[in-house]
Amino acid sequence: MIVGVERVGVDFDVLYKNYWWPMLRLAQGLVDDVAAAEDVVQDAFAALYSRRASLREPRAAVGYLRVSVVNASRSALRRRRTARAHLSLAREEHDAPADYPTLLNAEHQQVRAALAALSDRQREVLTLRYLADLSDAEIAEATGLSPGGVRSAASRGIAALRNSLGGQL
Amino acid sequence: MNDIETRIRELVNATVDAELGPRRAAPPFAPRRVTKPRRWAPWVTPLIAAASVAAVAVGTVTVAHVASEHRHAPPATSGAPTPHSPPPRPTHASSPTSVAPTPDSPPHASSPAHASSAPPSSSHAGPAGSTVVVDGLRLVPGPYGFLVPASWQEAFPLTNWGGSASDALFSAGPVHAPYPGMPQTIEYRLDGGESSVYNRNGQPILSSLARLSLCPAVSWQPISSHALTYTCAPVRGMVPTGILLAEPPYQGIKQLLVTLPASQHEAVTRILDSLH
Repeated sequence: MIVGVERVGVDFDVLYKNYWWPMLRLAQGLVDDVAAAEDVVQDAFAALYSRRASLREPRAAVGYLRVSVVNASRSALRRRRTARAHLSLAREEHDAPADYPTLLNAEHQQVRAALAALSDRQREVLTLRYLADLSDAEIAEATGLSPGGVRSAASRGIAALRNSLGGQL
Repeated sequence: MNDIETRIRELVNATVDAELGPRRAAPPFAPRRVTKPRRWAPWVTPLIAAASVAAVAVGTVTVAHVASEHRHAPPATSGAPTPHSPPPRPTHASSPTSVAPTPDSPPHASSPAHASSAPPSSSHAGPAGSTVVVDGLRLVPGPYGFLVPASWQEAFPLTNWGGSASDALFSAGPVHAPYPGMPQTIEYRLDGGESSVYNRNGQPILSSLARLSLCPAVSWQPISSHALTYTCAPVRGMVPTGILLAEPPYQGIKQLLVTLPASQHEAVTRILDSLH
């Protein structure tokens, strides 16, 4: 029997089917834009696809995906900020849709505003903790921070959210 | 995890779920190129594109030029005729293979035989790519694709004096009328307007072609189905010898008339042979 690369390595199709949605939620939590989040996830899976032969374990593949999503989200946010700083048209493109207030209730809008007020590092750490259910070690691996840095960012982020959300907590 | 963290977790998840809507299945995966951060300035891509276009253009011209030169390239040895050389110089009318041109003469009866035994048209287009020394004359590639003696001057470049033909003249010294047929000259004519030398199938009629000779031909001899050589009456002991090439209809008729002393017979052959 011929053992192909796919059989030896990660079953990409299964991985894609099972992890596309969780990765999309993670990306949405980071970039706050559905289209951008879908692009981020697509790029992450495309990168994984090109390396599928070298990834032997599904767990390693998921970790790779997570790191890809975090890095791509950072890039997306950076590009968006640059565009907003230099192009007025880009600001219009990235503005919330007209029906945004009706799509999200007041509570969700307040949460989104509170997350947006956090630093990038705090938002990444809290998003990975609450949306992806990662441990501090896994967050450290995904973000490149030290475990101590993760704990510090999480602590400060939670404090900031407590202040922002106040009455909802 | 305390209650506040639990509540934050709930709020964050609910917010993202509200933004994304109900859970969706993964769309079909289409591998695409991973976008990588750009490593060069934005003007580099157009520059590379423009350079590529220029490179292709230059390459095309170079290849065409090289191919053209290769087509004209002479054999490695100089001085000796190539195996595919046409008959050197046409013989006079007394020769068994020569034909005295008459206005009503039909296409040469022996033409097919000559055509079949003659080399293809490109083969009698001989050396013009490099210098050769023949009969004491150093022949170099001229501006129109045939060999000319290096010491000669171009008395006038390819010039249209009216009508459909243009002429160029090379000479060993100062030129004087009448020419062509003047001693020590090479005359080149490019005629684009002669449709009367073709039959209805577009094949040249050699007897009609012979009437286009630069000087009144006293004899002519086919060397292929679309080319012939001819000679005219001697001028100061030199026999003007020419070659006429009929390109496909409407693509022109070329001829070369060389007038040199009989002692430079081989040079005449090489010069005529280099026209194509």
